Amino acid sequence: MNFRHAHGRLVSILSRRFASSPIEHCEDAAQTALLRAVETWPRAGAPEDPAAWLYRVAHHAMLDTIRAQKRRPPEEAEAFAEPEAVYLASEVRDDLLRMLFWCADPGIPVDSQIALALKTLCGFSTEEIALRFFQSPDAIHKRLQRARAQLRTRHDPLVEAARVPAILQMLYLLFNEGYGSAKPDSLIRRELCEEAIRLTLALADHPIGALAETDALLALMHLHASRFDARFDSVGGLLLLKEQDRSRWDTSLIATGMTFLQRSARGERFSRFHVEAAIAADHALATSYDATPWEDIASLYAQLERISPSPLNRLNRAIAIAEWKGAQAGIEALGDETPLPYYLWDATSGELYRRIGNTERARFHLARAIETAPTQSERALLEKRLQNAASSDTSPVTPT
Amino acid sequence: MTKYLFLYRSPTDAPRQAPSPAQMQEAMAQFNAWREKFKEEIVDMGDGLTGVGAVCRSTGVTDGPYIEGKEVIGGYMIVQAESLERALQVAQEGPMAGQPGASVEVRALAGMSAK
Repeated sequence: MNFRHAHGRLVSILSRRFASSPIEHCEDAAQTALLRAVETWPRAGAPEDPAAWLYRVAHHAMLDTIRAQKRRPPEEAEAFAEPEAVYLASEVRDDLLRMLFWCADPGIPVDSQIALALKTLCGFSTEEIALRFFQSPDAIHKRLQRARAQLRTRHDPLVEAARVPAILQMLYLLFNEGYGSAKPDSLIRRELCEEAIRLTLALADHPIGALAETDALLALMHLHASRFDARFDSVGGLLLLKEQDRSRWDTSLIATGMTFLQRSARGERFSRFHVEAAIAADHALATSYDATPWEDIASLYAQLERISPSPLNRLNRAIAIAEWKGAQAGIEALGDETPLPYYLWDATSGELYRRIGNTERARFHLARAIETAPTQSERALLEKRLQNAASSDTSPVTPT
Repeated sequence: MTKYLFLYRSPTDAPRQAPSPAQMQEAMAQFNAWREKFKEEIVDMGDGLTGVGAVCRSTGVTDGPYIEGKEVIGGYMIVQAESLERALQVAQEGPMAGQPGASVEVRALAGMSAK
């Protein structure tokens, strides 16, 4: 039994059955039940139905809390006196989804949505969330408190199918938080990716969430996750796409990703997740770096720029063009202005200028990239490039 | 074979940070692994002790708190081992011994009630 997931299940069920109780009380009751399990199961042996056992204990903990609150009428507790002994798998699924809808409230910042989902649905502690987001536990605590206060009333948001895009966006960011290289410890980052996939699968499993876009997002996540192990060398350093041992890519994740990609090809809407999944598929299916279909990838990035204009998409298109037509074409695609102090932009510019032999501009951009690189492993990678800036070997500029 | 009483003590003033679900799962896995490793030795899993109780003396019964120290006994267990060294090994490898401020007191039983 995964305790974090059990915690998420308990909070989800309790928050529906005790709809007028604050969410913190549901979290505390789930915590109490798990603590009781740790104390008694090793001695007495695990119960036959651990999930039902945990729910019973958590339910009673909720009743105790309600009774202890003098201001609330005692009959409120009595109304829930008997925990429903069994609950259906579909009910648990609906409760998880309801909780997910609740977290993805557009009234709170998306960072808070993610923190709330990690706390309630994924069972991470405040400290564990802080560790994953490079913030102090205190800051996360305050963020959670503010978010909970704002979401005090829990109407039933399952009817709001309109919230699905917000949920997809939140899950996409959660996945990126884990996959993106802004975290040093690959193990805890992988957990974030796994949680994002788990919640997206739950969403896809529900009639409201089963959209083509959800499938596209799942395709994207699985295809990226297939490279998780191959992205790091034996000492935890980041490896570029070109340097990766493709035999270490997880073929079963690629296969699952491709299945979702096929399933996503329905309906009218071609979302940004569709485009990103198609790009990820191009990479995943290429048997070698040289076999990468750069022309196709460049045109997909152009499409992505139209759907969701962002400097990052332009940057990625320029990288694809540089690989397809050469460094000079890549520099032209980048354009002259640096849109924001974004280290990847400088890292890419530096590499492209190095390739066309403009050592001076290469050094300028690489030095600025090193200044703003978010992690040590990325700085190390850039410093290696800066040292090689005068040499003639060509390093790829593609992301990992 | 001698039987030993394990008394689990923990500090009363320790700031108790609630463990996260992942930490609880880890703790339970450690406990289970330890119990499996020493299943020949651990003859009685014992129990935890609650805060309910009192102390009886010739002068009468005193309600709690009946421990005036900085530590409180939180549980006990009975282990049998061929030597004190072995019993200490069982105690030291147990998850409780790793907790900051906590201790396991290992005492050989005299066997007075043994037939």
